[in-house]
Order: sequence, then structure tokens, then C-alpha cells
Amino acid sequence: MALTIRLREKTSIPVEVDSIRMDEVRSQSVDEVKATLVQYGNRQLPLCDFFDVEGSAADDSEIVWEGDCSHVKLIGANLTSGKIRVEGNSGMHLGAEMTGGEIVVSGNSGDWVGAEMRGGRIHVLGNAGQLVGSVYRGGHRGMTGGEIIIDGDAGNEIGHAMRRGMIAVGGRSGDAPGVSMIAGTILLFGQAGIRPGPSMRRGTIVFFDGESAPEMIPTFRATGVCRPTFMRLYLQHLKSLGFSLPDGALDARFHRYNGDFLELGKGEIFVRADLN
Amino acid sequence: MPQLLIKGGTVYDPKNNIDGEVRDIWIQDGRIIDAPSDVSTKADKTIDATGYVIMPGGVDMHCHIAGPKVNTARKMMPDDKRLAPMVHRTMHTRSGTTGAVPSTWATGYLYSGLGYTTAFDAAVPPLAARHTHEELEDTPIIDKGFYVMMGNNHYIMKQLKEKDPEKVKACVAWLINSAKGYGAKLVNPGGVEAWKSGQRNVDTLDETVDGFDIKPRDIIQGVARAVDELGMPHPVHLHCNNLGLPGNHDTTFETMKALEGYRGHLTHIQFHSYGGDPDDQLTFKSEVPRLAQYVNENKNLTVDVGQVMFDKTTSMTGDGPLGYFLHKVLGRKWFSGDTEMEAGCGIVPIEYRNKSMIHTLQWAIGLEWYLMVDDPWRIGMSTDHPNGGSFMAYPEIIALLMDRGRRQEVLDKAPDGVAERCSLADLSREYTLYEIAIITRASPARILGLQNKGHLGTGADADVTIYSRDDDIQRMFELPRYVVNRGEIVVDDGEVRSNAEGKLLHVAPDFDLDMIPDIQDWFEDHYTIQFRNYPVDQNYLSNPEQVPTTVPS
Repeated sequence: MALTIRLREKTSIPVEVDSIRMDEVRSQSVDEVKATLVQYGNRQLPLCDFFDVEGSAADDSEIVWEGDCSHVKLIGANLTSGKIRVEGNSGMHLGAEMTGGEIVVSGNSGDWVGAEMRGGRIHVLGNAGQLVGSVYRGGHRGMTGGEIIIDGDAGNEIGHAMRRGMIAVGGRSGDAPGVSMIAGTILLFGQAGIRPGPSMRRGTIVFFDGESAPEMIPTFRATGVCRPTFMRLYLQHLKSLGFSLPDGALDARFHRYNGDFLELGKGEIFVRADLN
Repeated sequence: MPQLLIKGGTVYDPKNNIDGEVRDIWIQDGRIIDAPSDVSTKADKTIDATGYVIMPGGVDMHCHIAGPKVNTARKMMPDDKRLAPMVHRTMHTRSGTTGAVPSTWATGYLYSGLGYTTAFDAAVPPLAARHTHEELEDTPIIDKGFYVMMGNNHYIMKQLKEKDPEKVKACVAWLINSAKGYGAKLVNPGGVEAWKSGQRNVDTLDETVDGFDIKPRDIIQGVARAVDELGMPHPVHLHCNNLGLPGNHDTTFETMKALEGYRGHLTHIQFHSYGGDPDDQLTFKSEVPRLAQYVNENKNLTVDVGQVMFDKTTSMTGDGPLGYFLHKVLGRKWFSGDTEMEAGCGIVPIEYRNKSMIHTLQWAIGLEWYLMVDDPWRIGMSTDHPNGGSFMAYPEIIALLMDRGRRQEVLDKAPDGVAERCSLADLSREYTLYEIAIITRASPARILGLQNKGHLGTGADADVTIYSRDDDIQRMFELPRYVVNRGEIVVDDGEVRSNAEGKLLHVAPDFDLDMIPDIQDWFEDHYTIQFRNYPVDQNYLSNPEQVPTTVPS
């Protein structure tokens, strides 16, 4: 049975739980986990002040967070392996800097989902906040590997300075996806915000809702219409993970744009072409 | 006042020719005193230092630790700060951040923890002096001061053009007095102004700076002469033109010759000792032997190294065009500052990698300097913190200097091309503890003209570092057992025990006050602030000590 950590009641002050690490809880007793200090505002208090704890991650390397954890930050930060399920909402920095393993959130998640993640997979069944898979402020490299799948909506600056990996957003998405992107893939299926890919060097951004796709910024150039083979591979992979694809997506054709020519200009943006 | 006795330690005090002798050191009122003639006298506190190594407190003569550029570097590197270890608040100390550019309080604690008791910020525009004093006041424990940038100062260049050495002298003295600085600093003389006003940088000492009709050579000679004639304790502190460019050794050589016998301190000389073609990085090579030989032969010259170490750091310079160059080469974020009539500034994050042929060669060139200057009294240890690396790397540099095998290990793994482009592999010299004591404390103090620093003779400031002997030299210098500053134990077994404020060291050279009205007229036509608001008032200084100038005979 998984290690279950259940929030008793939602706190107004955020609780930071990056001290609950899979590598350590696997070999810890329930009492040891309960005694682990977590950050509550400017104080450090034991986990059991806020959460009920039962079970163990020793056998199946699984942690389950329950309750409305929308003010619980850094769940699964630095995760290296194993599985974390959040039954409800999660706060900011979910899976930040993780290098492996899997995180599934049944509800919504706050900002900075998978910020600077290096590997593994995050699947949010609800909505996510701003800066999914992004770099932290001041840094020069965001997500460098792994997958982030958001079934619902996501905010601005998806994949800011991302270097590798894939982000897919099923619902609506915010402004400036792929800003300063170095490489990697961002797949946006719903209505999108403005100004895609400013200062992107390489990488791929795809808008599957061609009708609502944003206007390209002036430093991008149209390069024609195509049906890229790689798109099918990505879509089939998403399908295998239970992600619902729009009709006809597998055989769709795309307008292709190149940019940002203020930078390297090797980025590409695809906008689905065959709907109208 | 209570007396402190450091008893039975093995003392390395090069200024007083003490090379590893067992001595007692008596301290009272913050100074070293003679041992009491009555042998039965008991000190109020005694440290039993039997078996320990005793040296004067370390003196860092070139680092960047205070002022607007340092603060900007702190602010523009949240990514570095976030991952670096915190300094936590204790009973005695305040909290802070570390990384390549630690916060003010942390800077004081980290230097002290390393056994350093004095440090000088190397590049302050006079307009930023007030801010710098405020930050230095918040940099605890160590004694400190700074050099005033004047290599691209409009008024000085104007007087040089008019060939009026008395006015140049007056302006140098007035700037030092206004800023309450310690020394005169030239940064890429003429080149920063040329770049700021739209000309390219200058390539040689004989290129004319637009609008001023003078050459870098004139600035170097004029200011070096003024500093000598004013009797300032530290010679002109010179960051040569063309820093970091392959082929810049000719400029450096010409600069040394251009001093024409005036005293000159060439700083972070490692960055100025490169052969090759400026347009082709692959031709990069060491030219240390030629330059070191000239330094060995000319006693008016001293140097500090600016050693490069393999780590992430931040380049921070008054050399505006250099900042731009690094930004273009590295593609990283860039800050550029323009201090109206006075100076420039560039800040760019940089990572030195041991997989890079260029970076490894820079590392080797720094070590060549330490090993090829015959007289350790004329070279000081520095990383040009944080430019070549953090001051926290000093123990590692000491270990490299004392152990040829350790240098060879790095060379064995170095990228192709490093070994044949420098002579490091052939240098068998290994520093002794006595020589380490020279380049880390005694010689910087002497080059700075600080009579009371860098030694343990009677009357010296009671700054003492007590090391546990260790076969691992790096560990020995990383963790002193005790550090004593002004007679107070400030570090005990790695724990900082003090938050006392150190001294602010400055000089106040005399000059002809009749020159001031002319400066004022010009100032009021050009500056954005009022003349009377420009100088830092004596009352503004916290815990100052004025170091005397000497009238040369």
C-alpha cells in the first residue's frame, strides 16, 4: 500500500514539502515521515502538524497526497524515481527539477509545473498555472527532458527557455508559449494566447486549433504547408497515454513558420491548416 | 586592556624573516606588542598554538566586493543565488547569500573564515563612492578600502591633453580625497571612453581617443607620475588595454615600458598575457615567459595574477567594452553601465570549464605567473574575485602552487593543445609555506604600502591566522583553527564569533587647493549633480583609518 499523506485542512499560508523525498521515505517509518520538518511560512514544523500519514512507499515506491493541496508547494520536487499521485489539487512548483519518475494530479495545479525538470513525466488531469516547464527567473535553461501533459488549460510562458522534452496542453493556453525556447516540443490543442515563440532559437510549437491560432510575430516567416511525419509519432504517443486527440489530427496538414529571426531562426511553428 | 597570548605556534612572518620558528605572540589593544620583559607575566587569555602554523591575516589586494556593480551582479544572478548554500543567522552573525557574489555580510564572514583580514575593492567610480562606503560598512570583520577609477575620467584626460601635470596631480588627489579611496585605478585607459562615445575600443597604446586628442600611453604615464609625486602608498593600479584578447601581450609589454620607471602595479596580469591572433581564438597561447622576464628585471613593477579556476562565476568589470565582448562570445545576459564623466561597467555570467582549451590555458597561464616571477615579494595572489573565480578558491590555488603533481594531474586531463601552448609542465618550482605567506599577506601588504599589515612584528595590527597542520594543504587553508582580527578571536574552529566592524582604510594626499575652482567650474558644466554633493564627507565614514602618504625624497 502506498504512503498516503492526507491534508487535514487547507492552510492559508503555503506549506513547502520538498523535504518529503521519495529516496528517503522509502526506507522511513510512518513516524519518521510524520516528524520530517516542512516549511510553513518562516517556520519549520513537522509534517504531522498538517497531514495525517499512513502506509509505506517501501514496496511500490508510491506516495499519494490527498486533500486540497493547492497551497502545498514543491510536491515531488527533485523526484528521481517512483510514482506520486495527487488526489485533488496541487500547489506551485509541482515536480520542479525532477529527474525521473511520474507524477499524476487528478485536479488542478499551480504555477511552475515541472519548472527546470530534467526527466520523468507529469500528467495534470485538470488545469495548470503559469510557466509550465519553464526556467526559473534569471536562469538560462528551462525543462531539459521528460514530458508534461496538461489535459485542461495552462497559463502564460509555457516552456520558457525549454531545452528538450515535450509539453502538451489539451485546453486553452496563455500568451508567449515557447518564449526564448532553445529546443523541445510544445503541442497546444485549445485556444491560445498571443505572441508565440518570441526569441525562440530552435524547437517546435504546434497549434492544433488552427482557427483560433494567434498571429505570428513579425520576426517569423511563413515557409509553406506540410504534413510532417514526426507529428504522427507524437500524437500516437499522446493517445497511448489516454490523451484525447481532436478529429483528424493524425492526418492534418500544417502551415509552417520559421523564426525567431532575431535569434538563431531555427525554431518552427505549425498551425493546423485543413480545418477551413 | 586585556592581553592575548598565542603561545608556541610555528610562525611564518616573512617581513620579519621568521621562517617556521616557534614563537609566542603577544597582543594588546588590537596590536602586536613585545613580549613582557617579566617572564612571569600571565596573559588574560592564552591560545595554546603548539603544533599550529601561524601567519599574519591574509590580505586580498584585488577583489570586487562592494559598490553598484557588485550589487547589480547580485541582483542579476538569482539563478546562482538560488542554488548556492545559504549563510544562516547565528547568535553572532546575520544571514546572507553566497554564490559567485556573496551578499555584504556574508562576504565579511567568508573572508574571515578563510583567514583573510583585509580586502580591497578594485574598481569604484568616484560618483559611486558613497554607495561603496555604505556597503563596506555592512561588510563585517575585515578591514577594507577601494581604488578609485580614473583611466577614463574626462577632467583628467582634458588636463593630459593640455599637458598640465600639476593639474593632473591635483585632480588625482582631489578624486581620491573626494571618494575617500585608497588607490588610483586605471581600467582600459582611454578604451572605455572611446567605446562609450561610439569609437571602437582602442587597440594599442598609441591610438587617439576621439574628442580628447590623447593616447592611452599619456593616461598611463600621467597618472602613474601623479601617484608617485603625491607619495601615495600604493602605485597606480593598472588594468591594461585589450584584456582577454589573443595577442594582447604586446599591449601589456608596451604598458610596462610606458611607465618609464614610475611605480606600477599590473593587476590580473593573467588576462593580459596571451599570444595569438585576436581574430582567431584557436591561435591562443601563453606569452608569460617574455612578460615575467621583464617584470623580474624591472623593480618598479609588481603584479597580481587574476587566477582562473574551473567553476561558474560572474565577470564584473569597469571595462565596458570587455563586458560587451564577453556577452557576444558567451551569449549570456549582460549589464552595461555608463557613469557619466567617469567610467563604464560590464557584467556577464561566465563558466570556466576544464574541457575548454582556452579556459584550461587561462588556468595554466595564471599558474605560470606565480611560478615564473622570481621574487615572491612582487606578486600577489588573486582571482580578481569574482572574475577568474571566487576568493573561496585561494586554498586550492595554494595547493596547486605547493604541489607540482597536483598541477600535472590537471594537465594530464587537459584538452589537446594546452600543454604545447604554455610552459607549465616544465615548471618544477613548488612554493614553500614561507613563500605562500609572502604572496597571500606580506607582499600584498607591502605593495599596498600598509606598514601595519601582513606581518607580526611589534606595532602591527593584530591580525593573525592559526592553521592546523594538515597533509591536505587545501583543507589546511580552507579551515583555519582560529582567526584573530584586531586582537579579537573572530573565527573559532570554522564558526564566526564576531560581527565587529573592520576599519575603512583610505589615503588623503595633499594637493594645491587653488586648483579646486577650476575643477569646480568644469564640474558644474558637465555633471548631473551639485559640486558640493560630490565628495564623501569625513563624517560619513564608519571607523576610518587614514594611511599616511610619503613625500618622496
